[in-house]
Parts: sequence; structure tokens; C-alpha cells
Amino acid sequence: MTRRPLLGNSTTRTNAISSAVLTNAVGLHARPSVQLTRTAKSFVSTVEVALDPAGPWVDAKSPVKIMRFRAPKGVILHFRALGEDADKAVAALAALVGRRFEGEMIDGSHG
Amino acid sequence: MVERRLYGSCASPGLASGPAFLWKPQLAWRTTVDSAAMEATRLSNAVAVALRELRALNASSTAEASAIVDCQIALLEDPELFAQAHTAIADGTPADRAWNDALTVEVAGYESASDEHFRARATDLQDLQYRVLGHLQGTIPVAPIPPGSVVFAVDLPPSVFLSCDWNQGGGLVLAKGSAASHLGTLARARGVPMLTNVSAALEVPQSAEALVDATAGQVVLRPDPETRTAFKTRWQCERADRAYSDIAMQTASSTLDGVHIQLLLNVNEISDLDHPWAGSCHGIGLVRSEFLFGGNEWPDEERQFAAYRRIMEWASPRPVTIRTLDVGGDKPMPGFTKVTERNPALGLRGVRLSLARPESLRVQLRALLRAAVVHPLRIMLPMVSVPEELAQVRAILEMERGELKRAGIPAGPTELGIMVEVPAAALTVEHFDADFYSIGSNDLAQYTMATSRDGDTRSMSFDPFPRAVQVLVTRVVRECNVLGRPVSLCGDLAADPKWLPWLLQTGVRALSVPATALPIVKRAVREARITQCPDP
Repeated sequence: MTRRPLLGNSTTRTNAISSAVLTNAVGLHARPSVQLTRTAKSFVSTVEVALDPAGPWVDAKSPVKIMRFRAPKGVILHFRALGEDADKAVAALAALVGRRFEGEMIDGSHG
Repeated sequence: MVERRLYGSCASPGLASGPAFLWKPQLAWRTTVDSAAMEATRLSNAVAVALRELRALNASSTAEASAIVDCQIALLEDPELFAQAHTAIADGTPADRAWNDALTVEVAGYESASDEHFRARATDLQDLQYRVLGHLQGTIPVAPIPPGSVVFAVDLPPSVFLSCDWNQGGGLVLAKGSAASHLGTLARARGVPMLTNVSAALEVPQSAEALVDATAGQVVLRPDPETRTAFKTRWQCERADRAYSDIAMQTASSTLDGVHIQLLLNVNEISDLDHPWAGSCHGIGLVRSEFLFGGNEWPDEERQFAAYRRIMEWASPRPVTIRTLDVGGDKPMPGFTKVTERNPALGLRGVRLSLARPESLRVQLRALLRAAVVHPLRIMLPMVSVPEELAQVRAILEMERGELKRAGIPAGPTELGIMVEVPAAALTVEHFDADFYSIGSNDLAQYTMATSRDGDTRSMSFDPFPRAVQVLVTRVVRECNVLGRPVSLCGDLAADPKWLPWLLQTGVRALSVPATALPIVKRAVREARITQCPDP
């Protein structure tokens, strides 16, 4: 079941945007990607992520797509969501990135 | 039959011996193809079985292994992984080839990444590739690995590693592989020796006797009797040491006469916190903050704050001491330290350099003040020679504290102390109003003896702890005790068991050492009796 971003105006849906700097040691690879998608999946809104506000935007609920970003430490992740809980979704994702995905001991750490 | 030695990189240290086992996935491609609908169902079923297997594997795994398997499960549940395969199936490709081709493309994308960590993700995907392929082809891709084998392979999928019984020994010798991979993490956690980049790994005869010395980066096949004997001796020593060290880590660091010695950790970079023995420290006695400043960009306040906070959170509630930037002299920093100095070791460096570049000092102090919100933080100044330097930094520190407060940014309590490494400071330590003192024995010896630690003088007989330095150390500890302020010793001397009894009787009760030295020092502490220590 793939979700595509829904464009269009619906009075019950809101658009929301947030961004956060990726500060954890090795960037966005396996474990942080999965945590990010888990968080995104907990919201009903469509959620997308990009490395640049101009896009390209990919589905934040797909770990395979997120991992393909290969985002290293220091880049800014931009989130956008559309739906009833869009505000909560983007806020939760920015917060997750902000606290470095908590408990990332698996992935090794380098400075 | 001649002994043969292969060389590689160490991804997980240690010794292993056993019969070689060559691991190569066997693939049996189907020769017929059913309707697209049937092939699609075949793929879905194979994936479902693979997911069940992974979930079962998860149930019996350590927390670390679970995290890795969780990632694989998340990837396997992602429809994106099958998108390409399903397109190929609709075009009439059999499920096994469609799946294999799709995953090969995905894997290749990671193998070409410039970052080692991203390259290492390729093996996670290959793991999934083979697992599902096995179910599509109705065969197990590889024979199970006999326990106690030294496995030779191009690379090994993490889930295969997890389903092996490593209790009977064994090791890994890989033609490719990477220390940064999930496999590397698992091997280190499990204590399985692992070598990577051994190009001839698959040219080894099946069942040949193999001795692995991963720490030394080599494996010997069909060893000569002498080699075998030497290996056995090393093996026994290592076993004994390891057993002792593991036990030592759980015991208290008190002398035989019940005096508690604080054992602190030296941290050069964040990855030092990952050392298996690091967690047993009573706190961090020295963070050399230079690791943050080695890159192309000067780390701004946020970046420094994140790093310091991370260290504080790791250590909390134990104390942490972070040393401000110590560069110049033998530690040049392009764009920051002076390029032309006739005598760099005696020139603009340490706290002097920081005071000459107050803007960078302010940024570091702000980041430290903010990190102190986690827990009170000790800020330590390097290369201090006169009390005025300490006083100036203290004034700047308090000014920044005020600025942060005005800006509404939270800051925490800090103590400001000094490294005692310049002879002038050792000789007049009682005139420094520091909150704590740490003796930097390496530099103190160097300056006192007018001898460089590196360079030509190494060839001469080098006394690591000459009498003149002993006198200074004794003096500093005594004066600090009179002042009633904490004193510790960091520097190589702290980790030398030979000198420990001497140090203890000077009155020093806190030592800061690298993680690798914690067990030896603790052992020396537990075997010491202060009342019987030699007089200074």
C-alpha cells in the first residue's frame, strides 16, 4: 500500500512544515531511518522528507526510500505533512532528529 | 603442505583457531516461469516466510542484534523494496530472478557510496536478498556453518552470523567486509575475531587448519609446529587476561587497606565512550576537546554544545572534566595557531592562545556552560603558567554566563580548574585559585627535563619519571591537599602499575586513564596497601 502526497484543498486537512539538522554521528543510515519511518507511520497524514525545501520529496514512511538519501551528519532534513495531524507529525519528526534518535549505540559514533 | 599467511584489517580483535569453512551462497535458478500472478504470489509468500524467520530470530537475540534485525524487518515490510521486482514479474520474469535483480541494483547503490557506513548497509540488503531468494528457489542458499569454524567468505550476512553458535569459538575472515558494518558491530559485541580485506580469502582449502590473530591482522593456514605452539601460548595468556579484566571491571577500586581511588576516563574522541570497559569509570577526568576542531570548518557553538552534551549525558550522574582547546606548539592548527614561531613548544599555545583569540574561547565556554545543564561540569585549562591566566578566563566565563542568562538560554553550574603541566604552575600551585587541579605528567616531565617526548631523544634511555618530576608531583599533591581542593593525575604515569604505589602514598586519590588501562590500574589499586607504599 503506497501513499502518494495528496494535493488539493480539504477543510479538515492542514499543511505543516518543519526542519531539523541531522546531528547524530553517522548521519541517516539504517537504524535512524527505521526510527524515522516508525514515527512517521504513527500519524495518519501523508508525511514527506527532503534534503532541500525545493525537493525532491520522498515518502517518509518508506525506510527504503529514506535510506537512499544517504544523508550525512550536518545536513538539514525538511519535513512536510498533509492531513489532520500534520502539525503533530512534523513536530514529532523534527524533535526526533533534534534529539539524535536517542539510543543509537548500535551504529557506532565518531565525533 | 606449507604454512601460508594472509593479511587483512582488524574489524574485531582477538584470537581464533579452527578448521576453515568456505561460505559461498549457492543459487539454483529456476528454469521455468509461471503466470505473472503466480510469480507475484510466490514472491509474497517467500517474503512472508522470511519475515517470520526474522521475527523468530529477533525473539532470541541480544538487544544489539535485535536492533539490526529490526532494521531488516522494516526494510522487508517496505513495498518500495519490491516495486522493481513486481514490474519485472509483470513483464514475465520469474520471481527469483526478478527479486535478485531488483535487490542487486539496490545493493549496488550502497556499495558505491563514498561513506564507509553507507557502504556497509549493502550487506544488510544482501542478507535479505539471499534469505528471500532461498525461499523462492526452495533451497537453503548455503550449508549451515559448523560451530568452531573459521569462516572464510566474501562477506557474511548479519542474520547468518546471528544464527551461528559462537560458543565453541570460531572466527571470520572476509575478502571484503567492513568494520563499520552491522556484522562488525555484532562480531565485536560477541567477541568473535574478524578480519576484513583479505583478498585471497576464498582461495583457502576447505577444512584447512586456520589460526586467526585478528588483532595483528593476520591468519595462518596449515601452521608449522612452532607457529602453533607460539599461538597456543598467546591464546592462554589472552584468555587469562581477559577473564581477569572482566572480573576486575565489576569490582570496587579500593586498596587492600580500604582506601577508595577514583578511576576516571580519558576521552580523546566520542568513540572512546563505546569501549566495553569505558562504562566502569567513576567519571571522565579529561576530555581532550581538540577532536572537535580537526575538520575543515570551525565548530560553532551549537555543534560544540551537542558534542559536550552528549558526553555529559553518557557520563551522568558521574563527574566530567572537559579541557579547553589545547593547540599550538606540537599541535598546529592551520588558520588558528601561529605558523612561524622559533620555539613553538614554548610559544603561543594552550590557554595563552585562547586568551589571544578570545572570540573562539567565548564560543567554547558558552557551549560548555550550556552543556552543564545536564550535570555540573568541570572546565579545565591547559598550559597555565601564571595565576593571571586563570583569573582572566574566569572573568570571561562569568561574563558569558551573564550573557546566556540575559538571552534566556539555560546554563548550568561549572567549576574552573587547571592542568598542572608547566613547571611554573607546579612550583607555585598554591597561588592559583582553581576549583580543582589535574597533573599532566607527560608535559610536566617534558618541560622539567627539557626533553621532548618524541624525536631524537627517544633513542637515549628515557626515564619516564625522573626524580625532579617526582619532587614536583609530590609538591603539587601536598599543596592541593593543604588547600583542600581536588587533585588528580592524568598522563601516562597514571596508567603505569609500577608507579601506582608511589603515587598513592603522595596522597593522590584520583587517576584519569584511557579505557584500555582501566583494568590494569584497578588491579594495581586492589593489590596496593598504602601504609606499605615506598616513601617519596
